[in-house]
Amino acid sequence: MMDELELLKKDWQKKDEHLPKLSYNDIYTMIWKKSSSIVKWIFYISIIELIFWIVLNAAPFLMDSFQEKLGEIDDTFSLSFMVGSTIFTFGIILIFIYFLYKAYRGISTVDNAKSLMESILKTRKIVQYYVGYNLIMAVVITIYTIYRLFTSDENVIKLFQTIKDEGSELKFWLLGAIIVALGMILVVGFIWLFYRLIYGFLLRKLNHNYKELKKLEI
Amino acid sequence: MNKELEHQFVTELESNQNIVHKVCTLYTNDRDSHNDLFQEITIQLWKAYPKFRGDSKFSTWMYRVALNTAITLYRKSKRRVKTQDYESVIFKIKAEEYDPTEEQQLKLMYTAVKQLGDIDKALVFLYLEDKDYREISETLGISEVNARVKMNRIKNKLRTILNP
Repeated sequence: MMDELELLKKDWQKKDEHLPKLSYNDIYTMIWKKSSSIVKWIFYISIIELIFWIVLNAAPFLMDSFQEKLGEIDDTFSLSFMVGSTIFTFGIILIFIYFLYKAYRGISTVDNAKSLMESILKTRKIVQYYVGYNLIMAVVITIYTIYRLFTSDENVIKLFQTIKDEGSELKFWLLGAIIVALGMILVVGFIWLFYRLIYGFLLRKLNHNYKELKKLEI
Repeated sequence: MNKELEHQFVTELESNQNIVHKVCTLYTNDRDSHNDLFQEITIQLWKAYPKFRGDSKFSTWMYRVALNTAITLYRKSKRRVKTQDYESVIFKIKAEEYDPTEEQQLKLMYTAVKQLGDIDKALVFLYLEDKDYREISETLGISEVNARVKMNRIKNKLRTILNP
């Protein structure tokens, strides 16, 4: 039986004369055009993400009220805790920038298709970890702040005392917990959805083709 | 120095542009997308060129970058295959060169190939370009055995399309 593909191959190799022909100048102008590859898009998005979280982390230091509070701190423990956590936060950011940079450098179009896909997915994973880290920190800090509010803020303690006197303590706790939990779920859920949309859209093709390649290995 | 590199690159690409055009023809369905993909491949080739050491042939190196761009980097999703609306060179078959059944068969085959998935297309493309299984497997990052198995499956798929 004649191999149909051989027939196709014979024909395919005769196609050259029918292909479009670009001139030297056509190609020359093309090399200066902007790429619109997904790597570029992921790169832009991760830069925006880094800036977003860095600004969010640094924002308190720019606010007057926070600086006043900083000035009021007199015990060495709180001060060293503040300094320590700030160094920790920005240290983490630096570490992520380093890993992100390394991952980007690792993306090479000269690699085979599978390695290329893997290095792109790895890069995206790093951004994902970074966002995950920030979300977890945000939740932890929120819970901690609320806890501090209840144990050290005089106004809140006073309010809490009146509630206790009125006897609606349980209702108050329940309602408070539900509101806080809902708020956090809403924020985290929104960010998560945002991610699913952006990366789902960007990487749909890549994920599909990567799965195709992986299937070949079974 | 840089000017020299530019000149060298553009000259090489100009004389090897058929490879890129063929990839574009397989992976796109209209003239605009064809040109768009061609441009993206050119940009990727140019970006990778300083690292091209010349230990492989320029054309061999091109296959990789071109296919990687088409399969992975190129962002725009392909429209559904509607071969009729694209006066692609690939489908222009000169009637006088073929007997009608062969022409009909080829037409069917090209349509079938265009409907394959991105990875399958890459395999067929390299096969049609007369690459051996070693090169196919190295380009895609799969084992030679798997490349063979997959190719046989594609052949069978095409065969059933041709002989229902």
